[in-house]
Amino acid sequence: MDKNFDENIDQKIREALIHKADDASNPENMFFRIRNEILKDKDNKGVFTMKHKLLNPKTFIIAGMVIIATTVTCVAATNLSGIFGSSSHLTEIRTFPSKDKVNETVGFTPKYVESFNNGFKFDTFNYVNNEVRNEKGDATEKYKSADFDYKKDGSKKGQILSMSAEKTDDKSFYGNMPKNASEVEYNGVKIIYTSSQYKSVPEGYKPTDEEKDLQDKGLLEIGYGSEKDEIKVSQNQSVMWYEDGLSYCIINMDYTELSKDDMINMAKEVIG
Amino acid sequence: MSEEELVIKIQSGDMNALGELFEIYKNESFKYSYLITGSKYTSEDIVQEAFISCYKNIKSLKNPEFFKSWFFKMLTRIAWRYAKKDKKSLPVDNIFEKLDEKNIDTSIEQYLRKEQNNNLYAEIEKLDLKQKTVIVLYYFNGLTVSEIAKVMGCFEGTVKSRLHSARKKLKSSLIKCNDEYNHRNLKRVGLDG
Repeated sequence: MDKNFDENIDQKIREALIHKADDASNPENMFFRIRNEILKDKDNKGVFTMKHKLLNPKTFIIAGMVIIATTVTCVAATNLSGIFGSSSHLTEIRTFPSKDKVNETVGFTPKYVESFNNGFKFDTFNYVNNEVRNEKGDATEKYKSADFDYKKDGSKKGQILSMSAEKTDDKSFYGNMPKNASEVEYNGVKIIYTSSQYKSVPEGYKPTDEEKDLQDKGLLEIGYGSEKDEIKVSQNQSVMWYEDGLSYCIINMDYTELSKDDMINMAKEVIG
Repeated sequence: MSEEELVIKIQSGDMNALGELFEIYKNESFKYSYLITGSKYTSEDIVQEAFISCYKNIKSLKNPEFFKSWFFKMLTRIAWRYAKKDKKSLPVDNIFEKLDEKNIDTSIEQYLRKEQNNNLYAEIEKLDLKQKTVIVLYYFNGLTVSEIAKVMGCFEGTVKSRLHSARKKLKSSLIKCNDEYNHRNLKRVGLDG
């Protein structure tokens, strides 16, 4: 090949890279988020932590529930396998997002509401990066879920009401329901209700035989990787349903005043 | 304010200086991460993590004049980690991103040119991670072989060798691509006639 052809190749490679890079523009507010994360870490801990840690107990509930639907033993036996979710305050949005914004963030548009009739109002929107990991701890699948948090007047620290949605198929969703689930039908959609105890534990925690038994019965969920390595127990309820290729889940953690009917009614409000 | 002065200010904890440096490198680092991973979502995480890590570790940078290669070394390590992780996963977000891509070209020439670029980039994507990094740093970021060696933490000879073999692979695919392009052009002329 002659020199001109070589130069032509150089030019072509450069052009192909520039062309491809034109697809990518830096998201707005990125520095704002970087600065907030740095300041938050400084204020809270005095040390830096990377954003992709398993931070939020709520994430474990979501992970725990899906794990129950796939395989129970792997959660009890090892921390390596299962579904792991991580989110960051960097990407949290505090204004009620438009459908376009949600679609841009997670790649699909679920149904969602700004407030519920029982007084819960939209608080934050975020996405969660989920990874399905095999027994070696390697990620075999990765997907994003949309996460809407709600609060009401007088909400206390540690209380969580959250709705998440993600793309899935009906087979995976209905495949293995939690054992203590009950269901009602509304407008042709099956709403599945469960309640259980949730235990957030440090990584490496070994469940007792009694806990394993409760897990098998669907009465206890264990989430690994609690912050500050502490064990925290909470009561939770959830309603789940599958609609138009998306699975939905509303989780209530420690709002003990909410009844089963309250939870089901919230699901109905979203279904519409 | 010069880049060196900004680095010194960041070393003393000046967040505004980090903001100024971010403005200088945000696009280059984001596009670089995107070319390495092929995912905008992942690139966002990479750049954020890199700047947080930059603020945390910048005191270890003895010579502020070497900031760019120091920063890109860190960025590259983070990008590699994400790229390796993504390789094991189903690239769900990439699928959505591809759906977002718009094809509004009006002329066939433009379309074919775009297709050529896409084909060539597809070949770049097939290169192993280190060859791809060398290609992106050299052709897109305009770094010299010596700078790339610093970023990648290897000998200049290794960079040259990776560059050479990557170019060779791309050259053969470009020839193939050109043949196809010419063939299609001929076909088009034939149809027009």
